[in-house]
Amino acid sequence: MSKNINISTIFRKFGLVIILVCMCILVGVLSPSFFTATNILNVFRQVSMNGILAIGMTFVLITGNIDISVGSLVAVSGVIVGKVLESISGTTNVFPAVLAAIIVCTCLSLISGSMVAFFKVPPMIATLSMMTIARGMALVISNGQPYILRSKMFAVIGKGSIGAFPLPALIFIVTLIIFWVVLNMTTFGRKVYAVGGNIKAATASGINCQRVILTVYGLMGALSGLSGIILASRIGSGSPAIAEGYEMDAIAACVIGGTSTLGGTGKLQGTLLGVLIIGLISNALSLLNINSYWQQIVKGLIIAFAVIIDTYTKAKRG
Amino acid sequence: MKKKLLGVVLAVTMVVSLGACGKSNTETPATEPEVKEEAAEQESESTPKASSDKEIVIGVCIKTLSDEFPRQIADAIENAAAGMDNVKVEINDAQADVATQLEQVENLIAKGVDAIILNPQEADGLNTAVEACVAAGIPVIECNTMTSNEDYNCYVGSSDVVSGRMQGEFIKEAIGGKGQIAIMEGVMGQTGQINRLKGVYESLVDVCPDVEVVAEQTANWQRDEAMALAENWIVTYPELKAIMCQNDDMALGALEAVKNAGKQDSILVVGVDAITEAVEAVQSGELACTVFQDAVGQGEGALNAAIAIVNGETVEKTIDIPFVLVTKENAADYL
Repeated sequence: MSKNINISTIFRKFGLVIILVCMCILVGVLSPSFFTATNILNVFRQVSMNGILAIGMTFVLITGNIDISVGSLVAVSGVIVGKVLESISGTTNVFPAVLAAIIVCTCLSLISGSMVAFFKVPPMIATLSMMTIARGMALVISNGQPYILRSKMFAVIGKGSIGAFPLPALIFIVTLIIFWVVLNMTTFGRKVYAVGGNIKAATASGINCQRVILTVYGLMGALSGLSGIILASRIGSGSPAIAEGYEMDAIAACVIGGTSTLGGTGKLQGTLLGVLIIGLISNALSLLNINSYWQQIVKGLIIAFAVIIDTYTKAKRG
Repeated sequence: MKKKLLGVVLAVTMVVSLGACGKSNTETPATEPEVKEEAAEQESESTPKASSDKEIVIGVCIKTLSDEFPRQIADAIENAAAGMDNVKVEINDAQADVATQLEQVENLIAKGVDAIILNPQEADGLNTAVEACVAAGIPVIECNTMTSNEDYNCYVGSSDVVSGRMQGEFIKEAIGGKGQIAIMEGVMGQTGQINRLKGVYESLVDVCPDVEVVAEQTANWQRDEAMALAENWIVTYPELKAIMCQNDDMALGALEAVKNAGKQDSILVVGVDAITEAVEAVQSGELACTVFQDAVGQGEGALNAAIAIVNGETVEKTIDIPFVLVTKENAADYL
């Protein structure tokens, strides 16, 4: 009997880790190139953009809201970088471009946040309108044409590495640590949970819920900007058409990681596992050369399966 | 519950973005009285159709203006029309969405334009649009991509099989007819994807028994997806000789991955479309080749065909605009 309890406790605590490890072993057996250093580093590089979005999305979901405009914001970030780099071409200082992209994205998200916090627009609708507005802005700013980013300095952000470790992955991990500290060790973090758990109780206990929601959206915007900068640097172009559907991968990563779309619960370590699982799926599907027609189905099934196992093992405890 | 919510998110996203796309680009949707009026006008007009002084209005439906190639076609049509008297074009951007494009064609029919130039988003998805044009008696000229419904009046474009064949022949020579290759495809089911693949098989894979296609996957014409895919391939297939991409955006993405892995000398990357950035890469020797597709020729050809049809002249059902292989030798001509 006690053995049973132990197993379920282990599963409850480490269910996602076990899924992830099993997936790695399976892919490793099927494809000899999976466990090579290059491939592992590739995976880290490839997941970092979605990972950064998922960090912000975790905060948004914990407050009981959602943001589906992040894909468009990533595109805005890329074209802003392109626009600014073009106008200051000749200098090696890419800081203004990076700063401008983050500021613009933050402002756009603050607009979504205000719609949610002050005008009580349902978050889905507020960010839906921002999704189309931002996409349109990206098209208007770039006149529909991708910017070619030639700055060698800027290319370092997405392509560079420290030792063997890719810089985008490093940025992701550092961001993750910072936000983990914010969420778990600060008053603001506790307020985020409180707002999502029970907004009335939170208000009654003196929390300025509107400000918390606004801040969370602002952070989401800044992270979208950062993610867009890395993507643009990585592919060497700022394209208005890029990153469509990125919001879905970010939301999926959070949900796989155990964050509830109803608010109040969620952990960044879960999100990290969700991000890795999603990244691993794409990597595995191309390593194993799975037919393109089947890839979408396989990806959807694995996501659904991971969530079901996780929910089931958690429910068992109760 | 979570999944359900995610589903709702998806559904709402799609529905509203469709709506938003539809509104943003078509000119003010025709209100009912207007429709009737214009339809009547069109009827009376359709009887005597000699080269009158009446302005010819041509609706142009482009699959997406965010991709460089369709955009060049649109620009060519617009520029050509600007230089003509009595010809007005209305450009519609379907933003890579079949439903939006269908809606735009329907709106143009309701407006009663004289002809529609259609650059279809999908081979099958726009068959309904062609039917609607035929039913309304409005000539439809397809440009660059064909619908599987062949009731259109004229197709102006290049045969995608030929561009695939050109890539195949180039690679056959470059790798001496043997070795591992990988093929990166566009959005599955589009004619460009199907026919370019066919061309590569005809000229390379089927005729060279020592050429092995180790991977064949889609990167949806996108540079970021292409880069990730190529990174994965480079790890998996150390013997890879060539990555054959069905457009230049993907080729540039794959090229980035090849360069980062330090494999420029062993892996050839080829593309199609000859967009400026790709031709520059060909000229500098990074990209092995691309195939020039004449956007201006296609756009102008479609416009001329449309005007000819409206003026009652007969035109060939298929007008072919030839491809040219762009290599380091002739790259300068295409910049």
